[in-house]
Amino acid sequence: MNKYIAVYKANFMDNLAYPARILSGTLGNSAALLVYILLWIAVFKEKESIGDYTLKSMILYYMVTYLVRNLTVSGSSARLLQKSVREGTLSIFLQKPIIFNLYFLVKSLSDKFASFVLPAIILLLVTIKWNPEFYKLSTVLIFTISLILGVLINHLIYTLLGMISFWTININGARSIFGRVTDILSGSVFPLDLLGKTLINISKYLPFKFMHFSIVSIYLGKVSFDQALENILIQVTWITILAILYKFIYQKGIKQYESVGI
Amino acid sequence: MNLSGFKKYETYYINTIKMNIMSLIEYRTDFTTVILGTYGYMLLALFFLNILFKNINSLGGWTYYQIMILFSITQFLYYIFWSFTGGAAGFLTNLINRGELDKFLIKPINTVFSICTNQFALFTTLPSFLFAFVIFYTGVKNVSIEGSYILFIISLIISSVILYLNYFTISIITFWWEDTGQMHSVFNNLLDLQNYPLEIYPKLIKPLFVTLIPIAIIAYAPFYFLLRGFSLELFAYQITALTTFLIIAILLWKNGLKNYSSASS
Repeated sequence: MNKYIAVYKANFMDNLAYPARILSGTLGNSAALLVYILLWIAVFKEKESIGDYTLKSMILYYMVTYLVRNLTVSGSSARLLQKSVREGTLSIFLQKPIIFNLYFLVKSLSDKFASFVLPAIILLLVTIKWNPEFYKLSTVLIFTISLILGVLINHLIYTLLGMISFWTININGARSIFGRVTDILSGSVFPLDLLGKTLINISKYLPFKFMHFSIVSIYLGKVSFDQALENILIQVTWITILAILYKFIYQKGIKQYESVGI
Repeated sequence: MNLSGFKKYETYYINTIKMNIMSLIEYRTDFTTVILGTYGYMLLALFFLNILFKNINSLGGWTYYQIMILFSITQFLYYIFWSFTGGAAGFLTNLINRGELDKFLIKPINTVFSICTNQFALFTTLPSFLFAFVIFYTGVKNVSIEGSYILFIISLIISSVILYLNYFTISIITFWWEDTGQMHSVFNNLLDLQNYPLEIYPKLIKPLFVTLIPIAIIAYAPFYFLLRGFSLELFAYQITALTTFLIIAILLWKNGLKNYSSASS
């Protein structure tokens, strides 16, 4: 484990050397959030509430979603794996006493962490004013566990996607389409409970909901403690399924892998 | 420029187009990738609008089909400049960072022209154009048009140039600050605001988005000219943005070149 902590620290220090990059990364995420906030302010001028959501809870929904989304480093794992396979640099990881998949996760988290801090502080402050019920030990604890599991589900899904590059070098199109579908089914562009029965039913049987929506639901107090525990159990189940799938596909994929002169 | 000078530029441009077509034939997967990406984006945006309008009747006073037209215009704007310049802005960033701008500086034609025309991508964007046109047509069929198509097209071209100048200006900043990728990312994220009408901006921040970062009027002006007719205020904003960004881009380019150091290529 120490070597991964070392990777995290080294990468984090490397990122700190470029404060402008951190600032612009934070601004980039805030810009995307601003778009949604402005839009929903306009929407709520037409109507006081939409579904169970008021303007405040909708803004909180997007703030948490963007924070979770930022931390779950959507797509990074797929991109890193694709790059390593295409350039043949995966061989470097295969020769080292590390699990490359875990290395990618740690590196991605470390890359994102610096630009995660400021929005997280802002959210925690806004929460005091708008959602003080969140500050119960049990809620904070269960939210944190769910968040960590969500990060793992996200990472495994995108690593599985990245493994397509063992068979076809360019996966950008697949990644793009998959990203859009995930955006919808994870609830990151729209709260899932506003999508209509069909999509809600579909999302129940897929892992995407547990990457964002179920985590945000805990934060907003939309699920009871028992339901939150049930969600965590489902998250653990999905992680097990995805990990088995990962092992199976990796064993097949690595046989296809070729690198020259690395 | 005399006739032979013009001929030189024409020959250069035609040859660049030919090279890009050959490249497109060679790298068909890249072509598929672009199509999948843009179709995915447009479908997601339409899905979002659809869900939104299941809950409300209008947004800033505009109906579903009107917002659909606005969205298709944002796509037109992007594909117009992308068709003729492709990823020239990103290409310039790479050239400066790698110290490879010399390749273009020593050509016997205008450097900006040769960079901007280097990534001709009309054939790559055609399928996306077509999809955007279907969205536009669906919207237009369901609303009443009070404005003029000629004004709309003129305004669309002006806005497309403004949009391109924004991208290009950010790239020119690479002469001083090599990591402009994140600045592009901020701008790209903000560009999603184009999909929504000017009326959604709170009074406090509206001036910022019609002047300094003119995202609020880039798509809205042609949209308004088509649906409601000419507005002197919007046209003035457009011309001001066009002139301002053109001057900024020229000044930055000239000063940036003095700041450029090559990698002895």
